[in-house]
Amino acid sequence: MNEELILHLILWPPLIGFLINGILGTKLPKLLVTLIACIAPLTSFVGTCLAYVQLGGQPTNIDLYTWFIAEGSAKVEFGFYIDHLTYIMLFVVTGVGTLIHAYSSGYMSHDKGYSRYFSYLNLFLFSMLLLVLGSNIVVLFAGWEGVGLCSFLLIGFWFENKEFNKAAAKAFIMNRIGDFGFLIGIFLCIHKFGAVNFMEMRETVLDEGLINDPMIVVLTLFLFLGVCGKSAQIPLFTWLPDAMAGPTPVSALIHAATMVTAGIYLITRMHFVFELAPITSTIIAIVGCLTAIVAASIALKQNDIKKILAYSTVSQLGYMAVALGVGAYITAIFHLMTHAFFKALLFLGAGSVIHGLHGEQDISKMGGLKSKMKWTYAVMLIGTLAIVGCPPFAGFFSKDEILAVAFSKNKFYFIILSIASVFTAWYMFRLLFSTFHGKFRGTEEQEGKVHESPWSMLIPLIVLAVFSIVGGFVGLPKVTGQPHKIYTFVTQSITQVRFEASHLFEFTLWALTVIALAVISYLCYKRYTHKTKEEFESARTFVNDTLIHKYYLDELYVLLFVNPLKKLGTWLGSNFEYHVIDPIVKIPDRVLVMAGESLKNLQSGKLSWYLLSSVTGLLLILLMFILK
Amino acid sequence: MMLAFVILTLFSVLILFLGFAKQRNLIIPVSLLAVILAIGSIYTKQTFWNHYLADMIDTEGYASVISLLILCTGLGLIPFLHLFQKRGNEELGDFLGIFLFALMGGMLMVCSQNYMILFLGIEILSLSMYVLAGADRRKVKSNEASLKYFITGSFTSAVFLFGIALIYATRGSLSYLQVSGHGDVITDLAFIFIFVSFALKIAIVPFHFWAPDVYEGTPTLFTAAMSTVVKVAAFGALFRIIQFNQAILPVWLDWFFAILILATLLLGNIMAMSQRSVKRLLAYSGIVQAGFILFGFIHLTGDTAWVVIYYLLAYTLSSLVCFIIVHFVEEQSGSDDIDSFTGLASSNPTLAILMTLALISLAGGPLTAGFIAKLFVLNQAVVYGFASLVVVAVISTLMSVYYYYKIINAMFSQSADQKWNTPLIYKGILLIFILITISAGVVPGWFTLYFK
Repeated sequence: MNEELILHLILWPPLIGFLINGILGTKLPKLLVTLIACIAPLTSFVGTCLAYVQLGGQPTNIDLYTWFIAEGSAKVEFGFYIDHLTYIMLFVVTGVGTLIHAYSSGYMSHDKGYSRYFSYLNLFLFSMLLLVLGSNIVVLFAGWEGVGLCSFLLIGFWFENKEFNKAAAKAFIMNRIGDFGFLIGIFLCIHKFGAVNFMEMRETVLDEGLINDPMIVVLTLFLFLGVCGKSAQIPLFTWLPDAMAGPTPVSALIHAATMVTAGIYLITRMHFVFELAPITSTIIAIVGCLTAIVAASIALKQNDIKKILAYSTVSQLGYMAVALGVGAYITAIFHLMTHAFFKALLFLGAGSVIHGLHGEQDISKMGGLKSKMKWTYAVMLIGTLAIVGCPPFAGFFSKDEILAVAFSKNKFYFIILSIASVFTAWYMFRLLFSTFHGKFRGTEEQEGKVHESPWSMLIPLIVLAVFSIVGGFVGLPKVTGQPHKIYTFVTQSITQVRFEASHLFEFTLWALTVIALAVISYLCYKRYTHKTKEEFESARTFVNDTLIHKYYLDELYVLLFVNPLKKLGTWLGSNFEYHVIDPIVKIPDRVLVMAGESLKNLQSGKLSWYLLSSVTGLLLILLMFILK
Repeated sequence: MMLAFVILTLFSVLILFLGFAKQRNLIIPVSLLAVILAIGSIYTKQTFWNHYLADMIDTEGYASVISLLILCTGLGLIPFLHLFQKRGNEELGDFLGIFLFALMGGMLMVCSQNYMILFLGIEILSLSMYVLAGADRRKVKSNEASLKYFITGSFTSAVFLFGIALIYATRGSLSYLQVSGHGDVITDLAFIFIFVSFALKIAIVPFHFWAPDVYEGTPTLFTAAMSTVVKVAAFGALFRIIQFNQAILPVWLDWFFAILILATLLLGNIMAMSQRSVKRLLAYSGIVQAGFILFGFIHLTGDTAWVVIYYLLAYTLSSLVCFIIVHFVEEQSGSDDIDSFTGLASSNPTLAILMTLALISLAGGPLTAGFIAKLFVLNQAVVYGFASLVVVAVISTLMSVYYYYKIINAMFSQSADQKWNTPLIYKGILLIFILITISAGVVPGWFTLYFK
């Protein structure tokens, strides 16, 4: 089997699934829709495995054809590049994608937009594959925009609800701000490197020493603006919590495991450019730190189960950004991978809870679900232990590595991230205990209807739970004397020396982690297990209020940007426009109208006029010829 | 190649007889057969009778590529001409026979290597089109269109003849091949007349006034032919004149085109914006598109001709789809006003989607042939130092989005009361056009490879 065929096998099935379900979906029987929708990502997954086996892990460049050549600048190939970094992304995207498709067939079974949902989801998967497979920044951008579109469509999936539409619009606009920067970044890339292909850029970079070249710094900053939008970093992160309006599997796939990590992937893919701009790297690290701590602290006081997880995602993305900022690209990818497992697990678990409670999302109305939803409880417990970084679960190893790297580079980052870790443990145990332990706090009617989810939902959960347990073993720290498989795996894509922390530091960190987790979980258990519904209404203190209102960031944006713009708009509209703009604008307007009218008069239908104008034109040209 | 001319001529006569013998069901299949045979004979490079007129008619290279484009356009349009019969027009045989003559004339134009043959081609094509413009003989507008077209056409021919007379006066020959020495004042003058006559034929501002009136009055299916076959043939012939006469062309040629482009883009767009009749709107859109094709003529050589051909292909496909759909809507609602498109998305969704895609391609949306075509011609202009003109072109593209969007908006706003349908075969043919448009936008390499 040749490489091109494998590529087709990976890339196209989701698009075909989208086309079939999108065009014929409403007419096909539900079972067929489900089959088509789920087989598509599964085929891609099998294709990925085949690619790995067949290509022997060799980096492979496949140019299907040249899309166009802009003379004098860049050649744009419809080209794909598969290396080890791509493999990790591919396995995450197609693997988790397949599980979430299967899960969705259970979760969405009662929805009337069933086929529409799956066609969007398949289109998303296709765009995401385009994004991670693209060998040049134009193909990547096509995928980048594609996932943005699908995210918009799926957040507003229940479009009857006005609030949801607003959330979708917010996500779209925030992403547009980011994409604007990204697009400028792409143009600057073409200008600077004369190429759009990542490998060609890399060669240019290696040939010329361009460290701290001002153009490179500007370029990377613009690219990072794009990353801020897509990967929800300060100041563009507020769309992500609102994006939870979409169906829960969408939150798991798009807004936790794959799409939001596209920015992390982009920086890793272009790390050779970012390495040339230490200023940008520092900014990335600081933004990452701030994001991690701000989002984690907001999550402490939220009561909506999905919102807590959303803020948690933002915070974890902050961790990855810090890793990128300090140059530990492989560590970022490692955390991206483990995060995809446990965050998808947590979201799907939360979805299972919501499904069991018929749409209830408020944790203050839950409690005591442990006995009724045994499987869900078990997997949520695993997910929680993974995200808080309890050894030996997946999150422990990746987070530990980020902390250790941060410690070695800059103590300030380390302190911030450690505090964020404490917050993480707190909000996650709070979520776990108030949902599953204690007594049920909802109405009796609700209590009677609580049920465990169907197997189509539980099996993906169990698979993800297994990965959340063992996923971290591919990246053992040096202390254990074992090889760090991720390092050796992607060493061809990313040149980076394996990070080593001193044994003393490692052991201290582990011991502290375990002790801290034990203390926090005990405190949370005491505090949240037997809380009544009323007690969830926090006391109105300054800190509480600030956190509940998410640092008033939305209000701040409204105050800083929306209101001034509105006011400016009103003022301009009522004064400036009438007295200054209007008269000026009306000149060309008048001219155009007059021109149009007089031209219309010329277009009188009278043939003599037409011929006269032709003759005039001919005479004018002759005149020009004589006068030239 | 000569075989193709013979096939088309003989079959045209045969079809005229079929019409006379009231064998109406045979007319469309026989016409299709004629065109397919002609395409086959060109595609397989048959050389029968090629030695006749060998120095007057070129049978290779771009001549055959553009001829194929013309014939394929005809092939796509003929099945729809069947619809023309339903409206009480008994003379289907006459019109199809004449249509085949028109195709033949168009081919003759692009294949000629001699101004006399070129003139013959122009006349065959034009005379056929005059008749077709007046095909709906019970309608005053159709008669008016025919007459206007005829008079403008006569004027065009006069200008053209004056141009070739000057050529003959200085060069002593009408052949493209016997070009020697270099240009002088009289040759420059001759080319002005020849180019102006082409500008009239193609409808470039300020020689465009006839186009909206004629397009509007002509039965829509023949408008489709007018906006595609005639333009492709005229652009093809113009290209071949330039290709062969490189040595004696005026030095100011690029500027000549640049001025025409500027006038065309600005006026064409302004006029298009205020149109209510979709046919008139598409007429102005065609004028603007012709302005874009002229971009390809800046610094045109044999190596860059594929840019022009690619644009012609992209324009032909979208234009055909638009006019044919206008025909269907006109049949349904009785008018081509933009209001009759309101709610098309709910009354006939397939047509609405196809029309939308065709309009997106005309506007130059990415992933369609129109985008790549515009990219190629504008890139050409930038390379040869007309960057400021490209800025105008980009602004004019934005202006054009306004009136294309107006149609799309009308189709998708509000829902219509009753549904209506079009036969599957017609939808299928239109779908094929659109699929080619999209694949030419996604994989331009397939097409440019052939054009190079």
